This record gives sequence, structure tokens and C-alpha cells, in this order.
Amino acid sequence: MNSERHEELILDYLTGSLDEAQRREFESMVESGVIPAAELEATQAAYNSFHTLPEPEPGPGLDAKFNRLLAAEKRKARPAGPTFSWGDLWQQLNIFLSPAKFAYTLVIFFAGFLVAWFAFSPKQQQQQDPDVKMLATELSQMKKVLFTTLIEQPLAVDRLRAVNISQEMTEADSRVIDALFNSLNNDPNVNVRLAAVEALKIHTAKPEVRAGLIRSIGQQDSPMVQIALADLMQALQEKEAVPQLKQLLQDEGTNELVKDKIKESINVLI
Amino acid sequence: MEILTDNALMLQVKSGDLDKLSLLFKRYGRSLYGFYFRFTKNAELSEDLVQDVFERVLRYRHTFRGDGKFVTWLYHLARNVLADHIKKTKRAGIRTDIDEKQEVLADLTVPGEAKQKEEYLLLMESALDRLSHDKKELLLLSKLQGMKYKDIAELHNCTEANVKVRVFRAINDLREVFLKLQAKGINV
Repeated sequence: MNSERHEELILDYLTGSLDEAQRREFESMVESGVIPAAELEATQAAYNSFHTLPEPEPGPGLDAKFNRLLAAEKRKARPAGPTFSWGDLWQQLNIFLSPAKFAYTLVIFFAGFLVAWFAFSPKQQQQQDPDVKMLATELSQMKKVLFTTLIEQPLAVDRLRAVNISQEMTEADSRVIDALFNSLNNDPNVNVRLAAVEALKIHTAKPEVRAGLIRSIGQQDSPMVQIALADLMQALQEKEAVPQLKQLLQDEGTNELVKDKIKESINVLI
Repeated sequence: MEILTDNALMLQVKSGDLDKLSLLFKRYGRSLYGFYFRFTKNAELSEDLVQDVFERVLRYRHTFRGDGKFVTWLYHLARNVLADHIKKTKRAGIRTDIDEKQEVLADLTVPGEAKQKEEYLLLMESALDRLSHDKKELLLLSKLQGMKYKDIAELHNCTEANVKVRVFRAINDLREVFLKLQAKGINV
């Protein structure tokens, strides 16, 4: 029981919560050696170290998931149906508008409604849709042509432009993905290779893209690209990448900063 | 602007003002995440577990009376979520690979001062991982902002004195494991 008392006091001392009487009791225990000074020091060091351990930082997923949860719960709680909001509107109109103003508001509202109805009638909307669709298709094709042309250019800035354009493409064309991997693994310019990692992030839902990225880890010399890939694997929680990452870690030539990053990624993935 | 206490906010959530839960999430979401991450080492899983906790906060909001501390109630739910998760993974036969972690430790190279500090912290994290679940949980709870020893005592259904003694012993166990790991590191 005695030792429990001194353990309790030591902890209160460490957390700074000794009152006067306890402080006197504690000090006398230390002076008399009941609480050995060495033990106190060691416990204090461990306590301080433990309390300085950094807090794990969450990614954007944490907030996003909570927001989705809250939105879903609010939808559940809200009564459904347009009748509710119309009734609400009616109540508000009654409260805030005098009969004259109310009649005026109704007139304006319906006039506006009629204008909108004629301007955007179903017949006219149908005419507009195919135009918009055609424009969208043409734009998409243009981007593909631009991509294929620019990716072969001798100037790095053009090839970089190509990779960035690929991010705007809505369909995941396998030829575009192949070209991006070609850039990632073979382009002489490191900025183009980095941009290719970014561009390929969009397609990581596909298993063949993830496999290609993992293979690429062993083919990279540039520390920045190595770090970008390790980061991506960590974010994707891609455990299959661990063997390649370990190999890179063991490689003599690998940069120290990269090794640190890889250690961190492996720790997260395992 | 009035700063509302946790309990006041939760009571408002209980009476239908669901948006107030966002403020409670802002106050406690990150530390809950950190708590789970230290057990799971998995970012996505930790995010999911935090979401599970807040799901339960919403599901059981009608049971919140406001006579105890919100944070105690929250961590009561959090411990249940963690326990349920562990039960589920045990059933599925998923191992927690401490051995592979040891391998990574052996690769630690020698250093400058900043690196030494980083390695020290890494070693401390590894030591924490090697403690029993209960000791680790106790230490992590004691580290939380807003959680006092008497709150932990309430969670564990024991006395405050008992909690303090257990925390003291857990810190010393942590130190012992740390020293063992440090010794191993030098021999490699």
C-alpha cells in the first residue's frame, strides 16, 4: 500500500497537481529516500517523452466522412415532400407581407414563371441539348489530339503541358494511360515525370494502373519522383507496394530523405 | 459570441440542432483519430472508426443526460467501437504484424542531432506498441486533452487513486521496453 501511495504522489507531481499538504508529503518522501531520486528522474523522463510524442495527423478523409455522416442524418431527420416547403413559404408570406404586397408578389412571381416557362420550354431545351453534347465531344477529341501531339515534343514544357491536359480528360483512355506511364518511366525531365504521377493518381481505381505505379518505383532514379510514388502508395494504402519499397530502401544509392519517407510509408502500410 | 460547453452543445444536438455536432467534431475528432491510429496504424481505418463513434453519438443522442462530462461519454462510445473492431478482426483472423515492424526498426541508421531525436521518438512509439492493449489505452487516455484521471476512473469503473497507480506503472513499463529496444538497436 505504501508503494502505491508514493506512486500516486509521483504521478501527481508529474502532472503538477499536488496541493500544499501533498507537496510537503512528497518532498519529505524524496528527502528521506522513500522515493529514490533516480527512480523519480527516470519516470519523469519517460513521462515527458511520452507526452511529447507527436499526434498522428489525419488526412482530408476524416472531415469528409463526418460531413457525409451529418448530411445523411439531417436528411433522415428532415420531413420529406414539397408540400412542407410550400406550406412554410405560405406561412412566411402571410407573416411578412400585407395583402397588397402579397398580391403584387404573386403577380410578379407568376409573370416570371411564365417567362421562364416559354424561354425554357421542353421543345427548345431539346434543341439545345444535342448542340451542347456535340461541342463537348469535339472539345474532348481536341484535347486528345493536343495530348498526342504535345507528348512527343522535344521541349519539356510542351510535354508537361500534355500531361496536364490529360488530367482534364473525362474518359480514361488506355492509350493516354500508356503514354503517361511512358512519360513516368522514360521522360528525361523530372518535372514531366512528377506531373505524370499526379496525372496517374486520377486512374488509381484501375488495378493495372496501381500495378504499373508499383513497378515504376524500382525504375526511378530521381528522389522527388521516388518520394511522390511512396506518398501515393501510402495514401492508397497499397500494401502490394511494400516489397518494391523495401528494395529501394536497401539500395545503397538511395537518398537519405527518400529512405526516411519510405520507412514512414512502410510503417503505415504494414 | 458565446462559447458553448461540450454538454450544452450535445444537449442541443439531442434536441434536434444536428449542426452543433460539427463543433463537437472539431473539438474531439482529431484526438479520436490519433487515439485509433496508435492502435491500428491505418489512416483509412482510423477515419472509419472515428466516423463509427460519431454515428453512435447520433444514434444514442437521446440517452445523453448531460450530468456527466461529454468527453467521458464520447470515449465510452469510442472504447466500445474499438473493442467491437478488435473482436471483428480476431474473428477474421487478421494478425497484427509486430514482427515486420521490428524489421524496419533494425534499418535505423546513425545520425545527426535532429535524426537522433526522430529516432528516439520512433523508438518510443515502438515501445508503446509493445505494451499490452490495456496499458497502451490507459496511457493514451491519460494523454488526451480534457480527460482527467477521475474521468478515466469513471470509464474504467475504479477509483482515481487506482488509475494513477496504473498509469505510473504503465509509464515505467514503457520506459523498460524502450530501454530494451534501445539496447537491441545498438547491438545491431
